[in-house]
Amino acid sequence: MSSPELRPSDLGVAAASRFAAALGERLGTVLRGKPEPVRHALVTLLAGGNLLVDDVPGVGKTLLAKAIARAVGGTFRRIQGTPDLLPSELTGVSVFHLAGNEWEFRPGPLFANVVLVDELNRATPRTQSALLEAMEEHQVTVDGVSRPLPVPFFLVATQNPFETAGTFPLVEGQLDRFMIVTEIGPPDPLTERSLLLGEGGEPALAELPALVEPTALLAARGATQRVHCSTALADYVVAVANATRSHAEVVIGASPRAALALLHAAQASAVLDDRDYVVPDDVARLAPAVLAHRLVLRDPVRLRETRTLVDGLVGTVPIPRP
Amino acid sequence: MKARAPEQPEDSIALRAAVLAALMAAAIAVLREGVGRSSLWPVVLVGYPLAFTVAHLTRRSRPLLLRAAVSAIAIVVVVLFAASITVGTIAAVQVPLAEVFMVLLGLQALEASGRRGLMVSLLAALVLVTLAGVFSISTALAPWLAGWAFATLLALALAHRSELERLPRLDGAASRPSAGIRTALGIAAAVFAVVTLLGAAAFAVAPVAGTDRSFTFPAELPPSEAVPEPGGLSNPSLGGADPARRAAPGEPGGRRSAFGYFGFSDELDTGVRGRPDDTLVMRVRAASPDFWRGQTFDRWDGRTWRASDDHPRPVRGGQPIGIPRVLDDGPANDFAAVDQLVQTYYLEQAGPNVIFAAATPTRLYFPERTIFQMPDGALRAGVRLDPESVYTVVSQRNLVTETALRVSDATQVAPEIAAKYAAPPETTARVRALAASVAAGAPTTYDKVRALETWIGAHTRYTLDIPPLPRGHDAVDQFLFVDRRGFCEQIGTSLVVMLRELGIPARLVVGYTPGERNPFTGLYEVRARDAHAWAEVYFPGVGWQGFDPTASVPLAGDAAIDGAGTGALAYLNARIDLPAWLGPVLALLAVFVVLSFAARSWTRRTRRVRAARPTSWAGVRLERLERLGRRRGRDRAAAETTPHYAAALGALDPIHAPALAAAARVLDASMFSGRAVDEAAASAVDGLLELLDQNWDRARHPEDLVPTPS
Repeated sequence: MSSPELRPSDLGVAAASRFAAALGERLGTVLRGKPEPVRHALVTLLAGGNLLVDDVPGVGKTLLAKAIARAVGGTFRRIQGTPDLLPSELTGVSVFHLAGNEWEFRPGPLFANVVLVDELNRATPRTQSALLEAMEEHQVTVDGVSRPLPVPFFLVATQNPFETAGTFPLVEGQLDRFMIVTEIGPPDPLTERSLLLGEGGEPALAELPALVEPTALLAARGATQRVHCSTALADYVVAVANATRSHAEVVIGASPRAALALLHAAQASAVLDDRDYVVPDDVARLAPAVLAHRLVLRDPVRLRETRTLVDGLVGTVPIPRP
Repeated sequence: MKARAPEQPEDSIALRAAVLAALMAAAIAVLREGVGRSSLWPVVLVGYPLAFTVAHLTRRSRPLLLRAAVSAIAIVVVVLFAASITVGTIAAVQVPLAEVFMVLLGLQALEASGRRGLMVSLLAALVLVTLAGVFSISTALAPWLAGWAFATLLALALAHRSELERLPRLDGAASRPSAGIRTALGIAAAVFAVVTLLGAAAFAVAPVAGTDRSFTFPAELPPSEAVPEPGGLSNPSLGGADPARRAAPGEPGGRRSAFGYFGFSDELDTGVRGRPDDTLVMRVRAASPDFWRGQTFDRWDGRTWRASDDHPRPVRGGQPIGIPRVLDDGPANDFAAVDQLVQTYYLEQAGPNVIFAAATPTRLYFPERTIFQMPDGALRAGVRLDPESVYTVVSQRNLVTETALRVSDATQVAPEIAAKYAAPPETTARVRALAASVAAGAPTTYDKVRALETWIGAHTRYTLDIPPLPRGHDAVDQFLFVDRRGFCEQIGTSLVVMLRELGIPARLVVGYTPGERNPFTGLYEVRARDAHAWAEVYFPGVGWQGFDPTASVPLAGDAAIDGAGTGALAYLNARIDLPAWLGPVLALLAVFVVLSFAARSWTRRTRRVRAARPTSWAGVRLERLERLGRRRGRDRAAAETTPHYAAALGALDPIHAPALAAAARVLDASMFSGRAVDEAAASAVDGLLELLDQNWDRARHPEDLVPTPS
């Protein structure tokens, strides 16, 4: 899908950083006054992960997801999570083509560059697990045939953690597939006022132009992967992961996949700061967003409290010294 | 987060078991001291483990029914406790309170689903152990104490295991699990050593705990039979010679037991040979040592001592029984300096029904309402005093000094005392002559007593091996001129007889020497061989004063015990047969352990310093920045990232905030980019550090450096 003129390796960190900054600026005009979820979205985009927006209704979850889809460009499909949603409605089905006398695959909504799954936890576990393969391996298997999803592929899902009736909470394995779970939170009074006066929000979304071709995102991802990570820094990531494993409150700590996700996210964070190397600050700042939803605690608590826990744990891990 | 969350269930069986062990050890230690009814034993032995098991099984569900039942039982127990209290004294409440506490502990354990509850149990065990220590009169508590201490340490280590394991630093140690455990063990050992040292130090300097510091004066009797004749003497340990048996003839006699002392009878035959053995006869809790007096003899016939007047007088009273002065004590002394000595006697053997007391008893805490007093002031119980009898005596002691005794003239005494105690004794002419010659030249009564005492001490020998007294021979003559060796009876008798020859009132007292103080319980352990006979001399204006050529009688008040731990080493040394080299070896070992600990921490610190001493470009600059920051009042935490620290410093010095942020970026780049920083950036960092070094003057107050916002 990538055009031969612009290979991913061609893009330097500076260019990728400029790309991400422009993307962030656009997202910021839609979701005003919320730099952190925007940064999380950018990190996930650059690091090639999937994003879950976890917050109460009405704070702009879907808005952020739609803005990402719009800004990245490429094909965009939206799936509304409902209990009667079937896996085949996501992946697509094979139908018999009478004229050609053969089976023809009709791709489902997953076959898009950006897929928004709204209210993911309202879908049944069966449907949720159909998403697993797509999220992890960027392919779907229908009738025994594996079909690759478009490149780049980016899935952004939303869920409301406080709604329990008629929902199917995501299992740990599925949460682990999300690189970052972010929350938006209520806007500050000034932002809310400007929102009421028509700045940002849906009107801004309508005016948001597609920034680039999806290939630009691919190139930026390539640059992100080449961000330098020193041995000392890898040790630091391991130490942070270890800190979650040995805590008394934690039953299941961060997995190696989680540590890897943390490192990739830190690389993306370095790109956002126009650096071609990762520093401990990248890791420390992103650890709560990347690790919290993957931990299983002795006493289940709100995700926000787990983030505080992870934040405190990071505060116990010494920074590597030269 | 922890504060808001409900208490989490405790899943560690090991922790629960350790807490249970600590609690049971403490509870058994209390029960062993005879506190509480026997029905408490099943509560502790069966109830506690059951409660812990139930608590473990229901730690997640916490059934409402169980909690309701626990509450109900707790209320019933408290009501029963309230109903059981009849007398309003602290002594009456002490034991039932302990009982209720122990039952409530079992109920609490039933509810302890989480760590907090277990820690409460652990704390309660500490309270119980303290209680056992208060009630304890022997070192038999020690094994339970050790068991409790071990279980408690174990429980604490288990409860704080996760914190201990998180202590090791990142550099390598964290990735080796064994290192974490080793560190935890090291910390536990260090804590144990420090606690032991501090405990020993506190033990050595803590004030002596005497009975006079307690709120209550213990007194209790096991069920015991009355002596046949009210006020009569009974001493089962004498076998066939038991005076109570003599009063009721026809009863089969028996041999004198190994711990029976023939002086605790209605007569003392100096011809009797054989000394009591090492049996522990009683324990005495007292703030200072004294002679535990039993009774006195005043009539001497050349071989046997008797009491000229053995008509007991009943003394009645409540708690306490006031002990009246007797005629033989003479007029109340006009001696100003007195002190009170409270002694609690815990009997271990079925001995005489003599109530022992340091001179001079004024109050007695005794379960019976009636006791008997002899004309010489000796006290007797109306019942036999069996093992586990406990009574407390408050004595008023004259703080006697030599000067006070020197000014007193014993020849100027009331006639009734002179007639009874200073009449010319039954003895031989050469004894009379000896007394006169030894005392010649001594100006005062006191000096005469000392002269005789010294002569006897110098010319005779105390020994356990003396020949039998030939029939018809005068015991004093035989001792002073023939045998020249004897027991305390011969020695004390000789002194009394010679003093009487000089017209000085004197009498023979039997009782016990203080015994050996057990520094761990604070109680004096009185053994049968501590039974003793010595002389008492009457000094007008002072009263009766003991003298003992065998062992110097401590003048009351001069015995110094500095701290609770005084004599602990000597006590241990006497009991445990340690090889002579062990002391120095142990001392060397202790020094070695301390030194190696110190050396290890020193090398570790220097290693850390050496490891931290930066060699890289960024390391040197980072360290300098941290030094400057410390000077500015802002340390860098080990887990603080460079940009974060730079921002914190920038907040203190806003003018340099952008430069600090840039410097942090350069430092991070140098450390993590894998490339060398370019020269311009490097010199910018150096310039900033130089600038900060000049601006952040340690002498000036940091606040002055913050520019005032315009």
